[in-house]
Amino acid sequence: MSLIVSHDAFQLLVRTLSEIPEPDTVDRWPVAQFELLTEAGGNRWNIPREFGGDGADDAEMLEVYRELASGSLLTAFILTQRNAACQRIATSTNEVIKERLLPALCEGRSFATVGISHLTTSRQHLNAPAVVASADRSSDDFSKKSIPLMKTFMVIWMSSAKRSPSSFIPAFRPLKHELVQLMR
Amino acid sequence: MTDIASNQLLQGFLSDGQSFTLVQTLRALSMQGTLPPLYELFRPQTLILSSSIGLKKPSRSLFTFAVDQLRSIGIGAQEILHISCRLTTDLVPARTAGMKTALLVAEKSGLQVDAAVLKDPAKKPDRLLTDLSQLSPLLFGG
Repeated sequence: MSLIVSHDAFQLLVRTLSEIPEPDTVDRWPVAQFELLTEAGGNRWNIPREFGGDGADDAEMLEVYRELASGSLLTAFILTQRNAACQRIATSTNEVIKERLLPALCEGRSFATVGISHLTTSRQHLNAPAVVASADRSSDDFSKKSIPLMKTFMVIWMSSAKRSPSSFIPAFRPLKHELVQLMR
Repeated sequence: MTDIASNQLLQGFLSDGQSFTLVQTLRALSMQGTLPPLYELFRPQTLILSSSIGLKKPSRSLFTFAVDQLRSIGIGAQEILHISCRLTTDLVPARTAGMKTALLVAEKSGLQVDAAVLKDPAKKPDRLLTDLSQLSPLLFGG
């Protein structure tokens, strides 16, 4: 059984969201919606317990999204993108990324998102992958003790980019064909 | 979906998509009727999205991943019925991975069928469905 959706705080959140007008332009962030979400503990839901989250699994989160969408489809959509980024961080083998970012995300001090079209699969098997990682001054190697940064990249679209110091886009390391987590 | 759940069978999604895809799908389904709580329909292991595992159709590895994941909860490959309206990119790799397959030809939209593949004994689907209501007698013998 989904524990999150059965909480009174969650039910109140959905009811309240349904009564708040959603921003109707692409450049307006749903401030009130995400304040309510934070108050209801929404930042913790899919973060692993060892980083302070609730550790909800995919099936539970799907129920959460479905219920949340009945109150605010926009909020549910943005949360899926944020949580996809959180999931990528949580499953990363890069311990620095996890320890640096997950607690802040859990507490709502930071935000993250993913770049659509390069989540995982797009053109990764071509001779020239769409997104290629390259080291820069603040990350001069690709070791698991560092956080690679992208100099240049192109993705088709990305939600919440202006709000997100962390955007996770799988990309290819030059020479070694494997996916890494990149932070913009 | 409700019938399948009430008959104690598991169901899931094996789909190319990102994290919002399932939400959109379930929201659309909810508009057609009342869905039971999702924990009654799915287990985490039965929700397989390309964005989560880094593989997309028709990757053979994607279907092998699905078979392995379902085996981990006690479901053998031959106990899986994979339903799709796309033959070459969906049902053929599913069959190659050991699943049973059913081609859904309920509507033209999305239907992708290669006649030569349809006649190939090694690739053709196990069943042909013209309507999803045909699933109940197929699964439950009713």
